[in-house]
Amino acid sequence: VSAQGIAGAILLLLTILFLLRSSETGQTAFDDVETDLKLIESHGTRVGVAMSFLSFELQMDFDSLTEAEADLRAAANGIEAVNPDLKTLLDGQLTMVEDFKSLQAVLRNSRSIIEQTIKTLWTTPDLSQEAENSLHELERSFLDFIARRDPQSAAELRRALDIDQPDLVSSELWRILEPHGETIIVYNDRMTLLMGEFFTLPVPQAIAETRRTISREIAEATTVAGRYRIGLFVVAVLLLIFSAAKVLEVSQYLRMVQRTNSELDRRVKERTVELSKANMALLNEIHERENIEAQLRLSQKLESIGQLAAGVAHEINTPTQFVSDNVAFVDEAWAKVSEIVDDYEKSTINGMRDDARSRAIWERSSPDFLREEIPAALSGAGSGLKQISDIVRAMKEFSHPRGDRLEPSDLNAAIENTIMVARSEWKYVAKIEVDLADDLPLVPCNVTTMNQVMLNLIVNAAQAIGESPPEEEEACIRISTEVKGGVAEICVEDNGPGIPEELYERIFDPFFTTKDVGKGTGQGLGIAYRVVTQMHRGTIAVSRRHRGRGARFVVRLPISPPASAAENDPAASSSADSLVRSA
Amino acid sequence: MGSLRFQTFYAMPFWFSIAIFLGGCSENRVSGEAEQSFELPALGTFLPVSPLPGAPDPEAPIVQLGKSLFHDQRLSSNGSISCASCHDIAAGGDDGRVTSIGLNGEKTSVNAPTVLNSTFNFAQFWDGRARTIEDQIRETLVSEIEMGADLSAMERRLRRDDELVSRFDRLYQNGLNTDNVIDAIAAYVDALVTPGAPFDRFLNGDSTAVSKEVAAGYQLFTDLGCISCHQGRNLGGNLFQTFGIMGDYFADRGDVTIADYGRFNVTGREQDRYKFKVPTLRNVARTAPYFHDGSAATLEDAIKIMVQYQLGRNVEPSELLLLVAFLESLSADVSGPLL
Repeated sequence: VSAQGIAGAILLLLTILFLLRSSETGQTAFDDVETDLKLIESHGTRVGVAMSFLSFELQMDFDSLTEAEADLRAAANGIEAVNPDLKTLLDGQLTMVEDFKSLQAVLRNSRSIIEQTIKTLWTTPDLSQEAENSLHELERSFLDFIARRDPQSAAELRRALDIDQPDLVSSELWRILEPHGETIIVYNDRMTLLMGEFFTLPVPQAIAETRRTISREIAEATTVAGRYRIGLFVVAVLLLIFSAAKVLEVSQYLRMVQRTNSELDRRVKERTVELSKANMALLNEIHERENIEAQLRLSQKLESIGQLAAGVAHEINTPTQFVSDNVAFVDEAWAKVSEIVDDYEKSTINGMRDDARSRAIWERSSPDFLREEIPAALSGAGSGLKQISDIVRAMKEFSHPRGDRLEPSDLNAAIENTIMVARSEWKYVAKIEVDLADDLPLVPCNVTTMNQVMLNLIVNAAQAIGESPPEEEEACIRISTEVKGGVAEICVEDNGPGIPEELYERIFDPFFTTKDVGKGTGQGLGIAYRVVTQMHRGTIAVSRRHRGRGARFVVRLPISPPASAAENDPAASSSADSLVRSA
Repeated sequence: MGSLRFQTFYAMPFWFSIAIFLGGCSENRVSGEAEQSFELPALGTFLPVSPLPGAPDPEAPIVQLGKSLFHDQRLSSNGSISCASCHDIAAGGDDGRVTSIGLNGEKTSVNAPTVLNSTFNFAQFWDGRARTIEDQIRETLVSEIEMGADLSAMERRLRRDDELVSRFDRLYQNGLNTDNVIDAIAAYVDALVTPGAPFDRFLNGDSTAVSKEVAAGYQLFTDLGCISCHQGRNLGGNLFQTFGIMGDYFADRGDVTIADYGRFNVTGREQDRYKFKVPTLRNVARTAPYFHDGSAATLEDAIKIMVQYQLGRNVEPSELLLLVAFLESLSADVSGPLL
């Protein structure tokens, strides 16, 4: 998904939102205004009704009118933004309501006082007929005025009040009545004017006008909104087409994918057949390789044995030589001893004693020499035979086939055997220093193959020293064993020329050799590597000797049996302790 | 609420027809013999006065916060006065002075009206220039003569009070600010109502709540025409009226001031000159002196002036006693938690 794609999507979304907003017709705004207008109408009606109802009423309070007035004022404030003219009209109307209340309070008060006063005047004792007539005329015109409240009745009331009937005019009550009569006429004029104005205020027209304006605005808004709706529609159609195209594209793509998949399936099947064939071939190859390697290991073993054979022959030959020399000497010596024995038999057993002959024989056979040399020759032959038998035993040990199993083995003994077997390889080029750890426990090990590893290492060391003997020190191969935290460490060091570091990585490769053709197959270290790492789960590493020149090989073997063995045999771990060789 | 009132209103023609039906006896009552017996019209017929509705919860947190602010002198710019300085709640909701004394000792132009039941007034101030309690509070706060507050400075002063700030935080989403200060004070003023006055109890049907004098006083109050303006649940507070309908009060008093023009100062209309909001008569016995100019020191003086200049009549000393008795029956205490 590209940034452009995202930007496009956002733009599209904003456009749609804009169009959606713009396509609103403002119906809600219209509804709000309509609500306000309805409120104005209803509260206005309440006010009007209350005013008509109250105009001369005595027993009413203004609370209801005041509440209707407050409601109308609130509604008027609501409409100000829509139609200020209507608001001004309503304000005028509300002012009229205020005036109405003032006028109405005065009017009803004056009316009440006039009624009371007329009634009290009737009770005046000794009223003259003229006074009664005037009072009657006053009462009639007053009631007429209250009923009609028009200019004519007002004029009649004023005439009825404007009398100079002494009985009435002199009364204290008349002085109250007369100003109230005047007040009620004046205030009634004002009230009439006010009510006329109030009910002719063009409020309904203004409300209707507001409705028309709003409808017009809404019609315009609807037209505009209609355009935006068309825009929205166009966008929607475009989106639809775009989506359809995309869907088509995707479905085509899916079909293609399906085709490709089936094609792929077919190829995979083909390839699987090929692969299984190849696999079979590989398995065969691996099997073959294993066979070859086993053969290789065997041939290397044979090679090393062959290599050793000459040395071993020499080793055996030398003691054989002096055993046979000594035997020959004993044989010769026996002839002299035999003369003495024969002489002894003649003179002592047969009685043919001849001292002179005996003396001659004795002296001729030099008995002191015989007495000294024969035992020496015999013991020499014995030690020679022991040497031979040692070598033969070591040979036997060295090459004794034990199968491929790991068995708790005495590594020190194996190393000593190997040194012995390889004696002819090193004894002319270097001495061997041995430093074997006394506390080395029995290590799970396949001795035959480990012997071969050791032999390879010793022979390599000897050959290296042989090619380039050290000049400043005695040629020496140092072999040591050590226990280091659950690992038996075998170290073979020589002070030969050493191995260039760049070869360290290749040195354990099969068929790698620096030796001249014919001097080795290049299998020695490769086999050593596989024997140590694969068969024994150990490590083998090469480095420089710590001091001076030379190479240093370190083989590390785990002392505990391999994990699988430990799991299979719970006793193994406890028996492992008992395998620790006592020093 | 609105719809309820609306219904009540439309029920009027029905009640009106009953009133007409009962017209005859009503006439008889108007005609007098007040001393002998007094009965209220049967319940359900219209009376021009009505009892006060119940009070809001005086212990509501917002009301109590408003109470603290109402008595808080930090609201005035120099910290010398609070709302309560001119509106002593325990003493009738005003200050007993002819005109009040502002933060710098300067006198205000008109007499302080009571705050008690002012929530039922249709407009605030003598000239009705504020339609809501909130507007009235705001104007009084910033008035140079009265509290002289710079509202933002006032807000900063109050903000230093951590406890006050946390009270606001608990009650208002946007915490302490000028609008909320005014709102809380208004909530307190709305709660400053005094239902349960003896006359209200009488209106509610307890005939033992008032004496015969009070009942006779009410009859006189009606007959004289006081009730023309002092009507409704607040006995006033719902209309403007000219001071001096039946006589020229201001010419007789002399020294006309701009404040005497009343509503004219707000509307500029000639017919509004000398017009004032008709004040409530609730607790009137406790709010001397009287009128916008504080010129009437006693209730008797005030009644005499009113009867003379508004009703064009005279009042006998015996009638005066009855009227005072009636007006005294309109007093009630605000509930304890509001003091």
